[in-house]
Amino acid sequence: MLAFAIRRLLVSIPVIIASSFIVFMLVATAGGDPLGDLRLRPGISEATINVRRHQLHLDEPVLQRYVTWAKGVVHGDLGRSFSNEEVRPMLFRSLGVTMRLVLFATLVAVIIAVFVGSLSAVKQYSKFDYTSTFFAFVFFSMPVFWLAALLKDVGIRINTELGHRIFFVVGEQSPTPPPGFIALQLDRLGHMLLPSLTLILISMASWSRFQRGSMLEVLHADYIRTAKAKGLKSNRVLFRHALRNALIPVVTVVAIDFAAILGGAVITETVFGWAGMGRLLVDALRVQDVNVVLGWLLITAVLVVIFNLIADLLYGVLDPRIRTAR
Amino acid sequence: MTNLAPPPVGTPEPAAPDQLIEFGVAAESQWKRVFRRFLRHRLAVISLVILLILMLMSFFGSHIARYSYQDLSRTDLSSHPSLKHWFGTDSIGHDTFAQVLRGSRRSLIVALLVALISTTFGAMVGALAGYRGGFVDSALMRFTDLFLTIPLIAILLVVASRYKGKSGNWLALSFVIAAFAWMPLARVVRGSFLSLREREFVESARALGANGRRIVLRHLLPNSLGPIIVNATLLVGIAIITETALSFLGFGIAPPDTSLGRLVAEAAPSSQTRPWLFYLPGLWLVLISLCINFVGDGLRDALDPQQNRVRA
Repeated sequence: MLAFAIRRLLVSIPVIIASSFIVFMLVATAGGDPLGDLRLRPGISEATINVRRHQLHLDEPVLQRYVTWAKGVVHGDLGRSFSNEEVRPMLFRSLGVTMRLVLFATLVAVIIAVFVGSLSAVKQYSKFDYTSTFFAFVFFSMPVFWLAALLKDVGIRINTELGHRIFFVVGEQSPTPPPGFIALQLDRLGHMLLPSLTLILISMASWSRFQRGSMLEVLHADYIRTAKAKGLKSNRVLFRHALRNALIPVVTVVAIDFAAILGGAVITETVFGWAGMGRLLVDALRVQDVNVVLGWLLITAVLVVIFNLIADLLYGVLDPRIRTAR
Repeated sequence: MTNLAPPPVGTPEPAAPDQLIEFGVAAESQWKRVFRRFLRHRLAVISLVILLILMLMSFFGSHIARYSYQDLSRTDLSSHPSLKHWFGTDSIGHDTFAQVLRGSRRSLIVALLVALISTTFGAMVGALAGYRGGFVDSALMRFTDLFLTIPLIAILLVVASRYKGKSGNWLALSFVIAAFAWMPLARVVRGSFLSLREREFVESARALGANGRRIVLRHLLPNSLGPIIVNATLLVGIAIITETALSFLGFGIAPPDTSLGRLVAEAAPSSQTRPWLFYLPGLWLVLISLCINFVGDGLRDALDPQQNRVRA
């Protein structure tokens, strides 16, 4: 198992290097003036600009800049942004904000999706099945940003209707957070409500369909008939025999979709004004801040690889046949 | 029926009609069967009708509509939806319905173009990888891995910001989105080719002297057409959502051109005071993409029954 995990991680290294190189080339050769903002500031001498250009390695050829960046990464240094801020603390700060949203939303979405999907498989062609199918299609067809903006709008309406703020619609926490650990966490939880609802509804839509399909397939399998024929209680058949096996494909799908959820978080954060990974990327791309974009990409790629690995390991836990085959 | 002598050469024996009835059904062509199965999926048929109506309205509606997207009303500023202005007007008197028609035409053109480009390219790469195997195959698979490690929207943002001035142009934007939309289809086609090329009818075609091109074009491709059509349909839905997301973030369609995504993005801040500007274009967009997805689902039922068992 350990050997497998290490091999998987090693295989993904060239992929990450390749993608970082491609993105570097795309961003670094885009043209435009990276120091435009600095130049506009009054009282900036040509010498200062040259010093900054040298600090950011902008005076070097593109390929050499990539090598410099890559060397830094090996030493755990992600470079500096155009605004001369260390990229690594910047990234980890916003990563914390984003992961709070993403992990919470994913967890809730998986639980609901498994429940809804299994129930509509067990009660195939029932009213519940048709309703959940329809809503799955609706949320599946909805652009994330529209759903986010819609929930935001509805939240504001409810707030004004009640004359009391129930839903927070801007930011990941209050500008002046309440004192005390518990109060702070509650404040953050309140801010998380609508953004995570956005992500939950979107990801739940496809996962519940997937769970339904895989559950249906399992329910028609021979060993389920055997289990029933042995006289096992139907609950036991459903949970121990059917559900456990039906979960296997869903776990993979959730892991593969993890990159897509991060993408959805980019948009959700933009709508709700969170200072997370999404805003970081969008802001960095507006000024072609190559170090920030690459750092963003690196962290995201590593996360995706780790999640895929976790899924593969979980796969073994859920399905003993794969464990032994390995 | 007892006459066992061979029929005279040159005059083929006509099949007796009663014989056909006696021995089962008349052969039904494959496409007829697909069509019949699609019709059985009622929701998909309704969606197809609605989708066609919406598309006709988007492409030709501007000729019939009362207002053009450039018309400015002097009296109706920020007016609610009414019989005069179906979707209301914005703060300077633009008719929102005319804007939606114009925006959805742009969105649909981009989406259809994305589906066309990426389906063609994806099918070609997938066919090559599945039929040839070897280097092309593993290169393709590594390439797909690459895009599994980064969120698609992030890559698109990077590329779209790279070509910022140009990606406001719908043609360029279509190519940018298509450049990252073909991989799933390529994988589907590859998988289908991998299993088909081992089948007996391919072997027999090869034994009869068919060359690679003929086998791919006449035997493998037609048999993979089901999944290709289904994926192409779903791609239109994905493309329309992707375009609007990019436009929303400011990296897609740029003014003076407009799309559904831009309409919604511009209206979002004023959703409290002029909700119709935000909700109606958004609902229009969701309706289009919902219809596409239902049609795709119906097509999958009709064309690709095996796949349906996994993702019912």
